[in-house]
Amino acid sequence: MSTTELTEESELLRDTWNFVEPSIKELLDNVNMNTPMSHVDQNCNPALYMKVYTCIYNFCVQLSRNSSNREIETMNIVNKDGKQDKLIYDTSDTSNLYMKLARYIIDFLDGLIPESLIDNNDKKTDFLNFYKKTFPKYVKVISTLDKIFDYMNRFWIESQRSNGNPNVFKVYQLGLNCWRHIIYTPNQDLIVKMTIDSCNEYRQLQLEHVIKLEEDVSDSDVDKNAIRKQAKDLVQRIYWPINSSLMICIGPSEYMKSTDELYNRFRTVFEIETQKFYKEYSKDLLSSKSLNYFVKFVLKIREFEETTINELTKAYNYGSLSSSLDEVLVIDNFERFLTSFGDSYHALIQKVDIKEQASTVVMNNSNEYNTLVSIWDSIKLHPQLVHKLSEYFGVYCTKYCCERIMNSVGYIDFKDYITLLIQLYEFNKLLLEDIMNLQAAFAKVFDNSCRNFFNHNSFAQPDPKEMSHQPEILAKHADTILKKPTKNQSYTYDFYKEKDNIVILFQYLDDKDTFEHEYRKLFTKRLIHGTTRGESYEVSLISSFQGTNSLEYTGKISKMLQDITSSRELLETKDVKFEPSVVAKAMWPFTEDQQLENETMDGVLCLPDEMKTIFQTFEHVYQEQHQGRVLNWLWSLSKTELEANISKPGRPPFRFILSIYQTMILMNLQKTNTLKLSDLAQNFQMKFIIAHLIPFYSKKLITLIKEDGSTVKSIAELKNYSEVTIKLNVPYKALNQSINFTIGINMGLAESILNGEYHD
Amino acid sequence: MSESEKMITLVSGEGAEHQVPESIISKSILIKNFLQDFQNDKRETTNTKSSLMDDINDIDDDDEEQEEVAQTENDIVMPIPNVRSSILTKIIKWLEHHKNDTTLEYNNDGTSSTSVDDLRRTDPLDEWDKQFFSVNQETMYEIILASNYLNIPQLLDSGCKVIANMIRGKSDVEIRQIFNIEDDFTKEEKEAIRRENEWAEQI
Amino acid sequence: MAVISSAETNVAEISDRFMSTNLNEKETNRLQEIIKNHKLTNIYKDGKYMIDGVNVLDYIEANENSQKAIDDFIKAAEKEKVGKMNDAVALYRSAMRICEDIEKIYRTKIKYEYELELLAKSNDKETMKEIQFTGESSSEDENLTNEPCLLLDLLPKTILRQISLEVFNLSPESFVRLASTCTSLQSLCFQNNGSFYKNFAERVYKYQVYDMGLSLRISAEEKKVIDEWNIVDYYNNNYEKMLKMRPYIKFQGVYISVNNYIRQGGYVEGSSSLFNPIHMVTYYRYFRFMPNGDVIRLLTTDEPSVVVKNLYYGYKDSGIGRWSINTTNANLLTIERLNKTGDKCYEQLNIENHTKRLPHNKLTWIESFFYDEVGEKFNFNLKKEKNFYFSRVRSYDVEIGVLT
Repeated sequence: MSTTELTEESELLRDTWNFVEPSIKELLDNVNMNTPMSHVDQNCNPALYMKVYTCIYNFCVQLSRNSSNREIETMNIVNKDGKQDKLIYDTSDTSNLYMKLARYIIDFLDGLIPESLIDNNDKKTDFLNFYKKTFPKYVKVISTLDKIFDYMNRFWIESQRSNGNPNVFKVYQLGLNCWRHIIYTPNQDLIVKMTIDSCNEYRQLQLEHVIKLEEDVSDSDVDKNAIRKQAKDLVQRIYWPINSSLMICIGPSEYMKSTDELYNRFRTVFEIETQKFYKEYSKDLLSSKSLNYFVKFVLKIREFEETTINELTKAYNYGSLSSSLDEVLVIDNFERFLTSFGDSYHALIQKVDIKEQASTVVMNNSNEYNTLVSIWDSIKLHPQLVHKLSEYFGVYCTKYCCERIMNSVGYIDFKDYITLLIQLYEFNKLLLEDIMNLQAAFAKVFDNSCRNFFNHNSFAQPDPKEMSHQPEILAKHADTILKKPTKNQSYTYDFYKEKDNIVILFQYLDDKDTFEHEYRKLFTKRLIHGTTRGESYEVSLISSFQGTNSLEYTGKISKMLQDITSSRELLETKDVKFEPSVVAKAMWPFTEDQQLENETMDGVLCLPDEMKTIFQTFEHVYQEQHQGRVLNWLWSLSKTELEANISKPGRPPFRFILSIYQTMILMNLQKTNTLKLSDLAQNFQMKFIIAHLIPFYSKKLITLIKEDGSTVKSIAELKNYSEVTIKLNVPYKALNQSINFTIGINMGLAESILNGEYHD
Repeated sequence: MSESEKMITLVSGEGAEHQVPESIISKSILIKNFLQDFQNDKRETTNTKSSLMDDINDIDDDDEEQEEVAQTENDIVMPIPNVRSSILTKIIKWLEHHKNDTTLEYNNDGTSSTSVDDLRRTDPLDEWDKQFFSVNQETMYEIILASNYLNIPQLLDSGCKVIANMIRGKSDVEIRQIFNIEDDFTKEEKEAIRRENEWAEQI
Repeated sequence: MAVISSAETNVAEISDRFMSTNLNEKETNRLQEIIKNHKLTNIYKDGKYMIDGVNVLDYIEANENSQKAIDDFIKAAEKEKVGKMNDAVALYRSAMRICEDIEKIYRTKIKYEYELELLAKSNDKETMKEIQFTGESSSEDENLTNEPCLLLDLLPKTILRQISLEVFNLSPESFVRLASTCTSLQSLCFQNNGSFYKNFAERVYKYQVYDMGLSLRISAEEKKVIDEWNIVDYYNNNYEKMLKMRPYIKFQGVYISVNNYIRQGGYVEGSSSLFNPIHMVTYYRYFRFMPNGDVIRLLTTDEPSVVVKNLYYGYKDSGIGRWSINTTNANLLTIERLNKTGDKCYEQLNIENHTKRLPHNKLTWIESFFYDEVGEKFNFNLKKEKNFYFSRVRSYDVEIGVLT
């Protein structure tokens, strides 16, 4: 090693150096393979510390007191490899002391490298082993040196620095810089290569023995201790070279901070090698393990890389490596991921059942579920992959849900069908929420899929050429839960839960118009016949529809309800309880039949007197309130409740539920006990009379007597109605006290009798 | 450790021993650095960090015996050869007075000690310190030198401020007077310097 | 005319010195006393201060013409200093008419008086010494001067520098005084004293007002620096260089621009002169910058001696503008204000060095314009406007921080 001669040494410098040199030697001598770290830790005692510090202090102060400013000269210090570092020093003794120290450290490091180790392949004695054993000690020692040369750092180097000389360093940095030039740089390629080799070895070791999936059976015959020892050695072989490359790279202008120059060189190679390693590794893994295993293991690899390996190498703090890793692990295998996703998803959908909660399905099939989780976690950071997966999900979702429904066709009724739809919906939603975090692309795709399999499945649409029956099914379902249960039945549905389900199904319903129509039909029935579960329930469901659709959509339905409630307040009478229902014609889906009837019945005038007044008064009041409105009576929909005191004496009176015709007939019979049908024919069409008479006849409330006094044996005889007289059977004998005569009114039957087409 | 504070023995230039509690003397960065780096290591290693870091730092071969260097818990004796007993006494007095001051954080990372600039503070001079420095010039300089030597930035600051206050508002003639400065300028030089330095007054 | 122009340059130089000489009251008294007794001084007989073999003051005293001439010349110099060129030229002419050599006599007188002034100061010292050491004999006095300077002998440079820095923080003037006590302190303070320049730079640049964002604070060249906040990197970490090159506005003084224009006067009643009399009108522009971004502007014919010490917010017709520096654009200083009709007016100037040793002391005009209501730009004619020069004003001597 050749350096230009130092300027003449002063006596002071020589004495100072001679005094401190043995201590420096003592400290530096600790840097070798064999001295234990604990010994290096205690390399300094108060006496040595203060002795050297005081000596340096006195030297600096002495010079600082009487030295005038000297010229600044340029000197060259030549490194071992012939590279010249230009250093500017003032030629004062302090700079000479600094130079002496620098040279001493350089000489020391020069002698440190064991040449024989550089090409050694034995891990126990190779270069990296030397490196990791000496560097930490060296750092410790130069940090001690830095402390005892503190005054020189503070006084001389600071002032050099602040006066624009960037080439002097504090002792600690000087030491690191020397290490860089003497130890690291000449062996850089070797160090980088060996570090990466160690890293790959460490990966192999950890991935094979330490990082495992639960499904792996742990092989007990592995010597855990040996692995631990091996791992420890490798960890050091990775950490120290990399960490040192960061420490020793000191920038020329910012001498406090290190730069990443050396480290970046390492990282570039490291990135390429990492990719290479995992490309190979994933190939092996795929050939030996199942696809689902691979998918889950990828996550483990990434976690391992981004925690442990990153802690050792810091390489993942820079974005590019993560994506390189993903490239080989995820992106290159994305098709496999898709397949695995489809398979697991299919398996899960198959398990969805009417009776089981979505979460139970997940719990019982955690394997498949976890696969989905792993896949999602692997790809979630890649927008493109997320998008692709969401598309696939849409396809899978429609396909497998339809398939699931098809498998059930024949085993389920429409109620079960509704439940199945809801279960499928809930299950998919659970996946979406818990795994995909309701990611936007998935949410959108899911909506489309729901629309597809809700409307177009083999239950709702057995023949693909026909329209889907989904609207009818849904309307029917809604009717089911809104209808008053028949006698002896209790409410089997939780209304609010069912309501929510209906809303969900309604949301995805394609043909909402059909549904509306169907719904109104059934609604009319519920209203007119008073079979609704309750107005509040009706209102609740209607407002749900409103919420998910427009106000306009539910306009007709809500008007219907409104009609019923508002007309109730119109009139109050004394003896007879009168419940008129004034409804807007346009809103109500009445059949042609019922409307036609309006014209045929000649209105209120024909009613018995007891009722006539009531109707007239109502018409009068209504017309006063709403001028110009045409009021049509829907006779066939009217209902009367009558108390008939025609039972045996001592028995309570009967309660009859009657149509308006039947009421009229009974009213007429009240005084005379007999009534000729021909009398009725003056005011009414005979077919209605007969239609309404039949229930009386069949329940034996009346006897029909022909002109010749004989009774009518068959209703077919009513063809010649003009010859027939009605006779009320008093006292009436019946089992039930309350009888509904509206059941059995049959227009068709009446017509066929009149036409003579009816025969017994 | 807590029942009685650890005492450090300082040995002055004449060989006289001064006992100082560790917390007080730690205002001297020189001594604090030593105590932190070479005495507290044992305590630190017992702290459990991440197991990975443990592995990283345990670079000794396993087969080598971990010889436990039985360091006797002797009191630490620090020789302070540059400072006379009388000055050391004064400094200890100052340290005791200021023991509860909140000090600026000086970096202890071992990579650098603090620079003069970092320590410059704009606090006005402490009244007690003003009294403390009302001694003859020679003693004053000795205290300043010692604080520089022991690296007690706060004390050094105070000392410099005391001297700066002596200079403030004085004419050059008066300054020479106060400090016995020999006027080695010729009249022409004086004039030249006056012109040359003028910009420094213009802020 | 040639004579006058040479007189102008001389006067400029003299007035320059005049500005830098600042005496306190005590010193002024002492100076007057010394001048009274100047014959007793040892420079009385110095050949340098002789005119025709007689001491300059005696010469003037003895010669009535030169006495009158010197009075005129002094007045002229003063007028010129404050820019009243019209008056100054008249007075110079009158002085020259009386005594052709008056310029030489004046210069000798000035030099002589300056010497006496220095003597006055050193005399001051002696009296002080007398006060301090009353009763002590003169031999002890000599011993005292021989005593070693413990300050310089004991303390290393680092500490001395730190002390100088503390002094600078207390008062930049005291710092300059300390530096002028001896050669070693001079070099200690100004040479290789990075912390001082750093300190100075921090004090100066901290309060500059820059145009908008950070990027505009940095000049095109400075942008090469990696760390935007650490602009000094561009100057190789050399704050001294940075202070010289990077412009700044000074707060402890005013910038004055002295302008003249000639006004045609009417014929004096009954005059037979062939030429119209002309009046030279002198007016001043004053800028006093504030660290909060305000600038107090004043346009007046009042002389600096009247204006400067009173130039605070709301003084007479002064107005307030906002100033900012744009270093990306050739050290551009922009002053923005509203004129009386509410239009936005802009004045743009360059910050330049006055001389090498007085950096950033000069402001030169670039443009002055305003936008009317419709947004049309109107430029003012700047042909006759003169540069601004900075003058230190001691009475402004407050901490910069306090001003904000």
